[in-house]
Amino acid sequence: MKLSQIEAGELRRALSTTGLRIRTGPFVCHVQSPFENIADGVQLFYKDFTCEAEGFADFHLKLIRPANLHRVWRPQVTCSLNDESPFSPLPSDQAFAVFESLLNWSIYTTTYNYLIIHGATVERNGFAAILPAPPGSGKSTLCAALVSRGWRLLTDELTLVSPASGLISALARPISLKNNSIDVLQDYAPQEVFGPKIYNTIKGTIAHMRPPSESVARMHEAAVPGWLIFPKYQMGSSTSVTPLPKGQAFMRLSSGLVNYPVLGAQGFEALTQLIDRTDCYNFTYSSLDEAIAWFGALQPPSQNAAER
Amino acid sequence: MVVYHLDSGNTHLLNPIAGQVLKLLADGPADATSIARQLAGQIDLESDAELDDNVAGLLSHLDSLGLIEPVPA
Repeated sequence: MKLSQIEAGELRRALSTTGLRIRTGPFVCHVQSPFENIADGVQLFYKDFTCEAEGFADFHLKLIRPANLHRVWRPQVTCSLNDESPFSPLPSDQAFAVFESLLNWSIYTTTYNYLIIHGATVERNGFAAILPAPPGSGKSTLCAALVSRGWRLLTDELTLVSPASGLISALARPISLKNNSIDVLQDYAPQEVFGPKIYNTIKGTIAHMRPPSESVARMHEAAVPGWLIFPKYQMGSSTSVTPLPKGQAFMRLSSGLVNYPVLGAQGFEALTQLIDRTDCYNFTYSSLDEAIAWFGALQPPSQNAAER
Repeated sequence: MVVYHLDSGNTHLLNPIAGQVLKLLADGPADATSIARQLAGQIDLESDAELDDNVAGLLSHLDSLGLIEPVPA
């Protein structure tokens, strides 16, 4: 059933007892938590996702109150994946952001049937634009802006490439905006739904943007890689685009892949196929309007298997 | 050219000359002088002692990366 069909009180009760199994793309995430802000976040951001009370789950996440005195004077959240907890407790008012990070971490550390690129991916007219980038490059800002202007959200953080088909699977989870980009996006896309600001996290202030219902409804549609665009936000700069040689694009992408060394030759083949079929660019921007216009004018990829 | 080394799991980005040398060696063993001669013919380079030295240095580098290995003459 859809999560929005569960009444708020029932959702909270389920989360705090047996937990909920939420499907995000190819994964089922089983989450248990007594925290109200997690229940509120799940209800707000995952309303269009399907969920089940029972059955198989890829990840078992628990976010609970640690058994210490913090419980009384500064409440904390402690979390575990499959009953293992290598994490330090964090302030409980950050619990929803902790849940999102924990789910990212779970996918990162346990998935070997996909090549995982740290980057956002959006799709339009059948082709996906991959935005790989380190934190602070403005990829989530750009991703959210594109999604607010009609691009389909596949993912804001973890791009899953199938080595077998070369296609990209969607997760369609909430977009995590940080610091200044929160206000920027709230001004730029007031029609979208944003969650409360979560302060003093390890990444500063975080707020999430809800994935559009259409992106969630289409989360099982894989997309063909079309463009590989390395974004860089630079305050006050004009939009600047330079084509990136495929060899350089390959090295830049492979150096940041968590599971590339584990996949070995299979990962190399998958990445080769990806680079072959995409047009690669460096993209510096500061104006979202200009950036959106440039993305809107992108031509279908040339797909030349040029000399790498 | 980008190559993947199966044994080490390392990926290398090679410049066009190194890529060409690797392609030549994929056809069979060769020494620095004969590789230099073939290169000179293919990419408009002067075939001289300097090119031989550069190719020998390149072979040594590719060997240290484990991408090629010496064989008995």
